[in-house]
Amino acid sequence: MGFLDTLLGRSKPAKPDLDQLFGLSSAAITLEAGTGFKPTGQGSVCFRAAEGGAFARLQQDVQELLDADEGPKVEISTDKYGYTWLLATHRPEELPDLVTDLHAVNSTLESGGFGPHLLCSLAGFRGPDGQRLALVYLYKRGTFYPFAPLPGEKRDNALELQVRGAVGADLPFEDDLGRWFPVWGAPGL
Amino acid sequence: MDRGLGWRMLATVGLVALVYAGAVLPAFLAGPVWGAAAVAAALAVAVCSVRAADRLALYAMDARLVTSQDEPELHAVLDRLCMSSGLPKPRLAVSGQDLPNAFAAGSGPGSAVVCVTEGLRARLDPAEVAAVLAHETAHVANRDVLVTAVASFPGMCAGLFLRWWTGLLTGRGRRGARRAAALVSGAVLLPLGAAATVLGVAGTLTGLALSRHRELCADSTGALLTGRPADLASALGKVHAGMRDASRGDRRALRPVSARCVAAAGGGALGLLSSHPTLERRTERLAALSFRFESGG
Repeated sequence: MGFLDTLLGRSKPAKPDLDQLFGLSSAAITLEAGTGFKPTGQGSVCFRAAEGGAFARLQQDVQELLDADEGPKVEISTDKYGYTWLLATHRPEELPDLVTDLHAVNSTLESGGFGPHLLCSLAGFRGPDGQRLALVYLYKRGTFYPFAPLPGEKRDNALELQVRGAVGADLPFEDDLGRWFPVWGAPGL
Repeated sequence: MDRGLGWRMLATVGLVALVYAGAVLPAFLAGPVWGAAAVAAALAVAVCSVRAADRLALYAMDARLVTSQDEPELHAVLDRLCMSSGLPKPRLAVSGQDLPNAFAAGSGPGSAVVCVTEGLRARLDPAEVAAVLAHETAHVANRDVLVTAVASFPGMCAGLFLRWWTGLLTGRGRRGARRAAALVSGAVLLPLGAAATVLGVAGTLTGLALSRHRELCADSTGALLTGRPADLASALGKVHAGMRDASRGDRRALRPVSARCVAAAGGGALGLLSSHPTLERRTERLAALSFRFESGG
C-alpha cells in the first residue's frame, strides 16, 4: 500500500486471477497419485449476498446458467453467518466440468461488480479411509489452501501440510498459514 | 471512496503537517542541528506512543484477547471478513463492559487488534455485529489508528506543556521565594505558552476533523466489505441509543478509547469538537450506498 493511500485512508485491492481455478484439474491428479485422495465431484462457491435487487437478479442468472446442462441442479443455502453457498454436483470423474462451473459463478459475480463479495470456492475430496478434505481457493488472494476437518471442529493439520507437500507445486499455495481459514460445515466438503 | 472526501482528507492532512511544522520550527531557529533533532524526537515519540497504544487501550477497556476456541462465532465472522477483504486477520479481544461499542487498536494490519464489548454483543444481532467488525476492519486496513495518533500527537503535547506552564503561573503547591521564581520563569516562557495554546487548539481541531473523515471512510469501506450498508446503519443506531442511555460513569470508562470507538457520545457545538460525524450524516451516506446496491452495484 502506497504512502498516499495510507494518508487518504484507502487500500488497493489485489488483482484476482480466476484462471488459477483451472489448475485444480491437474492438481487433483497429482493429489490422487500422492495421497490417494479422490475428488467427490462436489464443489461450492461462497459469497456474501449484497442487499438490493441487482444482486438478487445476478444470483438468479447464475443459477439458471448452471442448471442449463443436464445433471443435478445447483443447491443454494445460507449459513448462520449470513453467507450464501452455491453447491454444484457432478460425477466424481467430471472434475473439469465442476471447475468450469465454479469459474462461471466467480466470473459472473465478478463482472457484475460483486467481486469484493466473493469469499472462496472449494472442491471436495475423499481419502481412502473416508477422510474429508477440501482445496479452498481464496478469491481475493488468488491462492489455494487445504482444509481437512475432523469430528468436533478440529482440523487435521498434519494432513493439510501433507497435501501442501503433494500439490504445492501445482497450485499457487497460500504461504501465510494464518490465512488457512476454517470453513466448518461448508457444502461440498 | 468519493472524490470530495479525498480532497478534504488531503486538506486536513496538509493542516496536520502545518501543525507539526509549527511545533518543530522554533527549534530550527536555534540551528539546523537542533531542528533536525526536534524532528527526530517528535517522530520517535509519536511512533512509540502508537506502538504501545494497543496494549494501553486494551488495558483501559479491561479487554482480553480471545482465541478461536474461546469465541468460535466471533472468530468465524472475522475470518469471513478477512477472506473477502484479503487482509491479514487482526487479533480479537472482548471487553466486559456493558456499553455497546467496539474499537480497533494497533498501528497496522500486522499488529492490529479489534475489540468488541459484551454490551455490543448483547444488544446487536449477528449481522449487525458483523457490520461493526467490518467497520473496525476497515480502520485497520486504512491504518487509521496510526494516522489519527500521529495527527493528534502535537495537540496532546501542547496540552501537557500548557498544564505545566499554567501551574508555574498560578504557583500551585509552591510558597515564598520558590513561588516567585516559578512566576518569573512562567513569565519568561510566555511566548512558548502562547505558541502552545495556538498549537494545542489548531492541533486538536485538525485531529478531530481528520478523525471524522476517517470514520466516514471506514463506514463506506466496511459497508462495501459486507455489501450491507443497512446492517451498519441499524447497528450505529443501536450503539448511539445505548450510549445515550448509559450513565455518566459508564461513559467515562470509555473515554480513553472513545475517539477510536465505532460511535462516540455527544460531540459539542457545531460538531467541530467531536471525533465522530453525527449519526444523521453517517446514516445518510450509508443510505446512499444502499441505493447504489439497489440500482446495480
